Amino acid sequence: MIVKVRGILLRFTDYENDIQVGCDTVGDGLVKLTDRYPKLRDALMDREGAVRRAHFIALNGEQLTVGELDREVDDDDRVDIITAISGG
Amino acid sequence: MPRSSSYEVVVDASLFTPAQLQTVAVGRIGFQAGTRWLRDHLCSHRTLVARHGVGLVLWAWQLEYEMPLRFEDADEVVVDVGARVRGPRWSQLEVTMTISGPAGVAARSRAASVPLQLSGDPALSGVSARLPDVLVEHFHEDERERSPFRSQVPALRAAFEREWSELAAHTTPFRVHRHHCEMADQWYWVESTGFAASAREELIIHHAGRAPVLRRALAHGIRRVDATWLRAGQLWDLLEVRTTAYQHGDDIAFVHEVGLAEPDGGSPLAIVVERT
Repeated sequence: MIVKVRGILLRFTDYENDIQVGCDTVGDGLVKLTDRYPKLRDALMDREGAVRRAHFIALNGEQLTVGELDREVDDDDRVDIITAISGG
Repeated sequence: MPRSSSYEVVVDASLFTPAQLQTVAVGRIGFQAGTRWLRDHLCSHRTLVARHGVGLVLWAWQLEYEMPLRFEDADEVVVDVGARVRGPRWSQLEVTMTISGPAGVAARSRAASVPLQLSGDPALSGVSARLPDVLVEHFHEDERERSPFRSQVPALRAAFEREWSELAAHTTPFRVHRHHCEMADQWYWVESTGFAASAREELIIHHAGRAPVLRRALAHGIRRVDATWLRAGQLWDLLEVRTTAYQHGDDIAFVHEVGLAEPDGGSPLAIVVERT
């Protein structure tokens, strides 16, 4: 799948915004992605490894619930990580 | 008596147009003023984030120009700022500010922010929340208002479409770069009013030949700005500002919809209304 990383998360992926990840499911892909970019794990996931409430995961434009991260994906599928809001 | 902070700011030429203070300059002074009020009377913005896990996101802003103030009129201005919590669940922080020169109040702004409960991650992500009780308790009784602040933007847009004549429309692309952002790589809200002002000038450049009245907005300046933010722009987002100009008698208004320049870009990130 191709992970699209936007704006406030770019500094945690060394400013790569289109990242190809080889995986079978969205959840598997997110684990591989955060293994590759450990700083992203702290930003994206809580201590239990769940995606924080402030971020949303979308597969080909469809927002997924936590229970739908086991959806299967191909190399061409697009996954967006959307941060609802951030504030300083 | 609501508490206020009052201080002097030395003005420089970069803050002005030929006619008045720049909109973005008033925004920056206003953000600084609100940050100062928090430090003086509640806790510093840094402490708010680091100790209380509370962030603030601007939701609505109003700016009115009143008495004339140009660069040649003063060496310094006086900034007065106050703040209060608003809404039935204390879900807004309102900051009001005036900038005064020799002739009196030159600009008056009102900003309504929404508190966020930060997740505690390095991206400073968060979800909307009410202001924690431990902070609300620090506001005096006359600094608490149960009625919420309401943005004027929806009513203004409806009135323009109903009663005003459309003069021109234009779309201007922008990209959010780091100098437009605050520390979390999210756009600094003031910069979106700058995008709107630039889009107004682009519309005038492209359409004033057919509608010369548009030039009045440059000659006399903008007298009032109302803005609302719905989502945040982020580093490297490609944006487009869709601007529509309206006329009603001698008055000109510009409505700027700031959105992502993508086919599935969704609803606008911000709407800025400028009036002469």
